[in-house]
Amino acid sequence: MAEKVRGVKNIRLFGQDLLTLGGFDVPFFVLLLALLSYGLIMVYSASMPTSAVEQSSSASIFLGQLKWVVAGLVLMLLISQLDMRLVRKYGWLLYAACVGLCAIVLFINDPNYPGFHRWIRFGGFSIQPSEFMKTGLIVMLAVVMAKYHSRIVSRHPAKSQMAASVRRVFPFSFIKRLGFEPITEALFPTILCGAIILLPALLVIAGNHNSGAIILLLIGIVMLYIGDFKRGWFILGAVGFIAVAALIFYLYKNNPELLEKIDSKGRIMSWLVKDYASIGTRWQINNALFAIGSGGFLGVGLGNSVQKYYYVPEPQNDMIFSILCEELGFVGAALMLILFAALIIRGTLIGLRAKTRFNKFVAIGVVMHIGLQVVLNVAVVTEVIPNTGIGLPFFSSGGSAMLTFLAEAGLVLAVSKDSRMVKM
Amino acid sequence: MGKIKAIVKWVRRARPDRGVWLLVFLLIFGFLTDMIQTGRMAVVKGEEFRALAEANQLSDTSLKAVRGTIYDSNMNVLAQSASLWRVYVNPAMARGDKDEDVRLRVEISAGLSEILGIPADEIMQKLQKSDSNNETIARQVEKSVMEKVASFRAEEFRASGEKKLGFSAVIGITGDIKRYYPNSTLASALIGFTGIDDQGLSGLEAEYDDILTGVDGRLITAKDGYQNQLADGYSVTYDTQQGTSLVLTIDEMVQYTLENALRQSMIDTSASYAYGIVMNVKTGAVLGMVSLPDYNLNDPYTVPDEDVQAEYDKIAASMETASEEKQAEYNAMTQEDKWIQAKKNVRNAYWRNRAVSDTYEPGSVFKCVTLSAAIEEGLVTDDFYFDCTGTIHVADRDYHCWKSGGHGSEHLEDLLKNSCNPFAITLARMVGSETYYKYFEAFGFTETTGIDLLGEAVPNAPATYHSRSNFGIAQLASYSFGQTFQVSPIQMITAISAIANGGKLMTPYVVAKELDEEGNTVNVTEPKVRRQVISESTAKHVATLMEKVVSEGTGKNAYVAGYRVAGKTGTSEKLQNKGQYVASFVGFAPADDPQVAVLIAIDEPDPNNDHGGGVIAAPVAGEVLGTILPHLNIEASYNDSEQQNIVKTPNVVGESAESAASDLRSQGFTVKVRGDGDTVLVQTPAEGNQISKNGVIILYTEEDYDASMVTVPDFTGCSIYEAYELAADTGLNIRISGNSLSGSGVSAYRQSIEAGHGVTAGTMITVYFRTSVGVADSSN
Repeated sequence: MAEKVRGVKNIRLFGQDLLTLGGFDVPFFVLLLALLSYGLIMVYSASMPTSAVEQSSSASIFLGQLKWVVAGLVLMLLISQLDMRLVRKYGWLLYAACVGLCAIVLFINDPNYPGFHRWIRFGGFSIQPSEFMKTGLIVMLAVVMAKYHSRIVSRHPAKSQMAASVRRVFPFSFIKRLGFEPITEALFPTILCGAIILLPALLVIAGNHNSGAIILLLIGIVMLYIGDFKRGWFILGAVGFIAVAALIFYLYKNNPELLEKIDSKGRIMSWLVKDYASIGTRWQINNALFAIGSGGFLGVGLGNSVQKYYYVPEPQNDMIFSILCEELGFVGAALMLILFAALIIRGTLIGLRAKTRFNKFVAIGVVMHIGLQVVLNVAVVTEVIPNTGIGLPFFSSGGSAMLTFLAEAGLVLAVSKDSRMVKM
Repeated sequence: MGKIKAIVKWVRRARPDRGVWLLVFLLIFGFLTDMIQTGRMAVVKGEEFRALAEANQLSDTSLKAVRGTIYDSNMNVLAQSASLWRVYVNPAMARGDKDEDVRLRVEISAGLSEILGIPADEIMQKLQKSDSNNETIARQVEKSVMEKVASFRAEEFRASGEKKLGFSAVIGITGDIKRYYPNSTLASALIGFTGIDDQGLSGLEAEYDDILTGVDGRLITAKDGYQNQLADGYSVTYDTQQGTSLVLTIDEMVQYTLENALRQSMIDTSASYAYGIVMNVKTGAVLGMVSLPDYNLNDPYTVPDEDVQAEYDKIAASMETASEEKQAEYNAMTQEDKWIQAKKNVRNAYWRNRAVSDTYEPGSVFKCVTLSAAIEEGLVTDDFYFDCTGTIHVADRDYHCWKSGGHGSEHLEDLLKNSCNPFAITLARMVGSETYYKYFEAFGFTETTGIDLLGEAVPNAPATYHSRSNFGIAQLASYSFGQTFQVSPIQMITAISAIANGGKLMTPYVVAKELDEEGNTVNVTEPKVRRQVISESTAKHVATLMEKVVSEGTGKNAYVAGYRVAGKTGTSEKLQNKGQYVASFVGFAPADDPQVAVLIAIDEPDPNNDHGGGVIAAPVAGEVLGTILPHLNIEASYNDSEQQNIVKTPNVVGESAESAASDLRSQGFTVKVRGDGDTVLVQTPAEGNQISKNGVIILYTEEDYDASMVTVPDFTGCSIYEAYELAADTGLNIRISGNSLSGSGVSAYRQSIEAGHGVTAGTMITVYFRTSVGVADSSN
């Protein structure tokens, strides 16, 4: 494995390294293009009936998506040429801008969706700040975790004045006797990172976009894990999650009324009680499953889905995977999942061999973001988990998500330039 | 080995990154879970889900097959189905609580309400039904209305902002069928009617439901989630197959004649019911079958309120003598339920085909069977002598003849002519109960006739007759003149038809043949001989004696000029309903070569008025036979006395008015000359018409002379002579129907054109005569 970085050329502007022109990781780029093309084809096929009804032409949604893809690719290529040090330096600015947008969106009322604050509309298009926020969060956490890495992994007692005063109030002597240091140097970065994660998550929840918040939290947790925070916390978290799941199951078995109160939208209930005849809350998921079932192993052929004709609501969005399954069958689905897996592994390798810890955090954070959304989206469509509004990266139509993912891919490519990868 | 080493080395190197790899593995684990689940949904549960998807996607429209037509024997339509439309809504497509959803529902219910005339809130209720995707709004919608619904359905419904499902997703139109009965009440009990789903509910419609019902077709198409047809979707059609049509043996004309005569008679005698059958004696084919009261086949559920009220009162009255239990049950019913019960009873009474479903005491008609047995057994000849003293003693009981003091000395022919009970009892005793019972069975009174109609009364010992073991000497005596047991009208006419048919008992039937969609005959009913009951000679002998009943005896009123009618009257007191009677006449014509048999029964006529079979039933038979025999192309052959009365009008057109008039007058005609011309231009009746020898002929001598109008006088109560006089005075011609023999007590009881109507001079009016003298067959 060659370690040498070839053909790197720096462009400076205002005393900063602006662009580091050079070769990025071609396999990652190729995989990305393959997924993008696959996604575009599926958006075109899935959106045709809806386009025809809502707009004038059956290609209108596809063309809209294509514009975003083109814009996103340009953005990606630009970002791929950025100097990662610049990103690290101004990462906080990106984060702050995204948080600002998330706050602004709360004051915008969408007449079509009363009670929801998710989109900022201007001109002919709209943006969804919660999508950009994901990138902002990844970069910001990477910045902080890279900066405080030594403290994060440290097991020494914290030396600050504040830590000392806390110790005076709470002796923690019995915990110390067990061999643990309760207030280590990791405390400050932990609080900082926690705040960085919770702030946007809470803003997004305030905008009535729980699924967006879940993704932000998951990204945050994964980033903290990558950032070498103590493993014990994550084990604790996992145990806690399993406990909550067990509680829900217990409620379902013994006290369905209480569960119904908690589960206001009926999503958990309708996930637990699989009624394939119901056309109420299960309309969407049932029709997605019917689409997958109709596709079978080989699918009914590209363009031949019937379920996309207003059975699966907005088939080009969150449920696009079901249309993919109907038209291209299990084979098409497996191909998609393999491409994603390859992209993630390649991205992980880029991250692991990155030149700096910051670069590593960014690259792995990005691929984990992509991977998480793929796993969760497909899990929703195939009813492994209850319904949440999580899009399928590079497939689901939506400008903000496309820009976000392509920007993030640009970051991975930027990292790959001086990663110790074998260049192809 | 080298490879393993390389992998170990790689893992070692990766050790610091194992936390990250763990994450990747977790992700890959998630991918695998997703992939397995996708495979499970796509392949393992694929069939189930595909079926569910198709259940949604494919619209399987049932194409209603047209029900077969019912024709009479001359291919006149009696029942026919028409294609109409059904309008429905799909509530699943009009759900939601947003303003536009509410507006959609309001607009649809208002729009449909206006077109279909159904209250809007009723439609709204159906629109709000959950778990339904097909709620019928209106059935049997005419094409013009359907087209209005279709254009309303095509209107655009747009909510503010985005596209919503329009009317077309909610409103649906599909085929529906309605059964039409062009003659409404004609043969209603026989034909029966169908329900809203085109299923036969009574009569022939029910009996032949299987073959009348066609095979429904299917149209399978793919539709989108808004229930609209997919433009290039899949579409398969399975054609409908029209139901088999029936050609009946019923002759519309015969049916109509029988029905009218019975209806009039029922009114005249204030009877509760009346039924009649006309049968082809050679085949058993039923030419007409009437059960009154009847109903409108196009509207079978509507009955007059006064009838319901009468039934309601009747139930209430009957409750006074009912058991306490029944009374309590009755009192527990709401007023409305009581009314509904009464209505149900009335409907069922209307729908009932009494000609096959009811039983009655045949009375003296049954003497024909007794006589047949005696002759067939070789026990009597025409010389057989009997002295009726008015009473006969059988098994500790005295049986009285209806004629107090008795008929005196009688010969065999007097048995039927006089309808003498002791004579009948004597013959039956000669035959013996065992042998008599064999004839009772042979004539088919212990079994159903097998007619192809629903609800034939099943003979049921001991309820309607006595079983062989219970048939003793007392039964023999009462059976001989038709009392203490019941038969159905169809059994009775079938038995009498056997006598007319040389002793061959036939299976009666009403469906002559079945036609497929193209009109090809697919099935023909072959007349079926059940058995030879009596020999041909016995049958002929009995027929001869039966003819005397009409020519000389109690059946005089069934006389039809030009035809030899054989028959027997009956008047029986009802077993269950004491004080009520059934007056009947069963006969056939022509007596020497029997073609058709007729049964007339007037059930429960006013007992305080004429209620004898000879007085009220026989004239109906005469009327019916007089009309249908010529219609059935049975040649009339007038005997000498009849011949004298009837002449053909000569032609005098073109002759001088004066000489023509005097010429005609000299032949016995009454002549009226209209106009001042010299030559006869038109005569009424025209040449060749059969009129009475002293009939009226009007001669018109002026081109533009208006046909003079005369007012029809009231002939009822006139003797035949008086009627001719009155007709001549008025300037009308009359045809005498019924008893035209110069007997005493013959008077007109009806006329074909009611008194007071204006008609052209010279018009032919049929006046019906009957006698009330010498036609009694019972003491009442």
